[in-house]
Amino acid sequence: MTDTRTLNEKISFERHTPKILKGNFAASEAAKLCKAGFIPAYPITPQTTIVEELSRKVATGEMDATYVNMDSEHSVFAAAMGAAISGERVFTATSGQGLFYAHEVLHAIAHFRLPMVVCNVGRPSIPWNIWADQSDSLAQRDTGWIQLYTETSQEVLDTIIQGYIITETLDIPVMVVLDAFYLSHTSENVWVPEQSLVDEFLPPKKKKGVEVDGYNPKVIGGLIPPDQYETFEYAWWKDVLKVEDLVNRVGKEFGEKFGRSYQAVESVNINENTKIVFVTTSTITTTVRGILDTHPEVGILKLRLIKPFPEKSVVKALSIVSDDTVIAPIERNFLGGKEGAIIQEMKRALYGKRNFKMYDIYAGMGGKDVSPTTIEKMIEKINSNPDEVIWIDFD
Amino acid sequence: MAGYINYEYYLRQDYRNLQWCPGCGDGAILQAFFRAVHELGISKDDMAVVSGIGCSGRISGYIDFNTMHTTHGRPVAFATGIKLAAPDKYVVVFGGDGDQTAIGGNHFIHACRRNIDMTIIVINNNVYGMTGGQYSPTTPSGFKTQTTPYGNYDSQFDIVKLAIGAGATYVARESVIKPVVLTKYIKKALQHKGCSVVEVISNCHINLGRRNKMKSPHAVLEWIKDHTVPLSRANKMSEEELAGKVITGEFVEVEKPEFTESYYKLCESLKGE
Repeated sequence: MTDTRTLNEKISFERHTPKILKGNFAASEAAKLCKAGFIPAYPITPQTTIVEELSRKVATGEMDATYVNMDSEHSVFAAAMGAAISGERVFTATSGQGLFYAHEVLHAIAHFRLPMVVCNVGRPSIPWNIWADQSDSLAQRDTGWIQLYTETSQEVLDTIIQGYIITETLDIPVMVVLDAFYLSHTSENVWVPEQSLVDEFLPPKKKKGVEVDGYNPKVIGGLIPPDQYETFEYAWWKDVLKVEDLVNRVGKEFGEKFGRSYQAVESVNINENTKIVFVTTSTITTTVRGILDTHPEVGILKLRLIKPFPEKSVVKALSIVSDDTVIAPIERNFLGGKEGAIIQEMKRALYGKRNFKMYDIYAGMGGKDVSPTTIEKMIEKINSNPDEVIWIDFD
Repeated sequence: MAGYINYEYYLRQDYRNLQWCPGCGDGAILQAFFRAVHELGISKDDMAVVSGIGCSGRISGYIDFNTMHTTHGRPVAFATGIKLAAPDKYVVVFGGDGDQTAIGGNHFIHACRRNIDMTIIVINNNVYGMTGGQYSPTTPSGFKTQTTPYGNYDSQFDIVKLAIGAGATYVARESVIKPVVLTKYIKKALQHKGCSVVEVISNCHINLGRRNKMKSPHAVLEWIKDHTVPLSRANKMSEEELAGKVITGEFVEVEKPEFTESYYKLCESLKGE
């Protein structure tokens, strides 16, 4: 929903300034608007310009925050954890190998129930590649972070603001994912809200009494015996169940305040005549939008929330289509399995509820361009009854 | 053996897309390395070259040895595996200041401590060059980088002191402006049994010099020249005179039990029991 509305010159948003921003700069702008108080940083392409811009903002006094250059991503996330334990509003960004390296601390942050918003500009691992891919963040699905995927620079900015509400409500960390270069380094129209508008929506971070404060000494992270450990996981699980509704509620409230609303999933052109539903994430969604005029039989199920998977919203969005509709997730990830990550989540969500024919499409890995022609090729392949798993440029 | 070197023999012919900036010091270092290998008459099949991430990391792609381009900061750990599996091979690690003293600092000091037989060439250009010029643990005070846009306020590592303190048994430092001396040090490092560290002060005019009033490679080389003092001369200088200077030369050359040898010796001694 974001792209068509923000690109429309006739639409303007009150108490906003229109700017032309790259996805990375939209992210740093959002961190400033959210008054992040602590930013640990380590460079890694293609994320680097997010923290570079924040470094400038902090150094010039444009932003009142503590900025520290760390010696690795592992240290970045450890420092983020330390600051969050002290009650600071934390922001940082990383990419691909940096996220893989921080894996251990990602678990720790989530298990400590520390609120923070982190941007990941997706890129794959080896062979070395710095271009768009989602295998890095999707490989972190089981670390316990909430994952939100963004399609446009506007959505990056808006999602980070919503992310702080979500993370500080549930004390579960939030990862906002951008596509490398297609989003991180591409300039787009972005409506930047006034500071006062963001302040009305996102209040200063409240301390909950569990933080390190020096006056009330406490032990954080002690050894937990077997009979108590599950208590923590159970409490966490109860909160995980609230994420989907919260994302939808915050997206709606954001819309009331800012004029742009969001949901956990967005359905485009899904109706009783839909024959193929592409399940998309991030920028590939925009490309599929581009072929809808020539392919009215195609619909899009855009996933914004991926972890925890928005089961209810997915089932609801597909409730209108008939059982012979083809569901085709586009996977910009390869995680060593027969199928990509998205179709696994889709099957899990639909199990016992609907029995669709599903094709899994591997495409766009390592930054490979997925053009409208590629999407048309996907439609062709689906219509010619291929194997269940399609590699778009092979065979 | 000195004299003409066919560089093409050492370079991968199918990988000619060199992505280093014109004027980068990495080329001079690579040339010194080839010259050292050539003069020692080491077969390239007897050598494994490992690199991490950064501009220096590309070396493993360009040269026609047994090479590995590994993850950021880890080449020494990968090299440890190679050396233990193939103890009769020469193992060389190329890493930058970021790779070896920031993200991979831990592996670096432990290789020195163990005195495992490998040559670690640390290309110190005082900045994260490949990601576009962020400060590193060796960026001089006051220098502007992308993440210290108003000057670096942080302290620096002295890589030589770090290596000596951690237990490396051959430690030398030279800059790219003296490739002949550099070649000599690399040769000695390759011949030395144990962990050898050669720090090379290199120039990055694109991502360090440009932001610090040294736009050309020449300007950065001049700066390196002005700020380096050979050990022999440094010994005669006072502490005040040496402030802000980097001393070059050979600092340590000692014999100590080598890790791989000690390990296999122990294994041998236990076989009889």
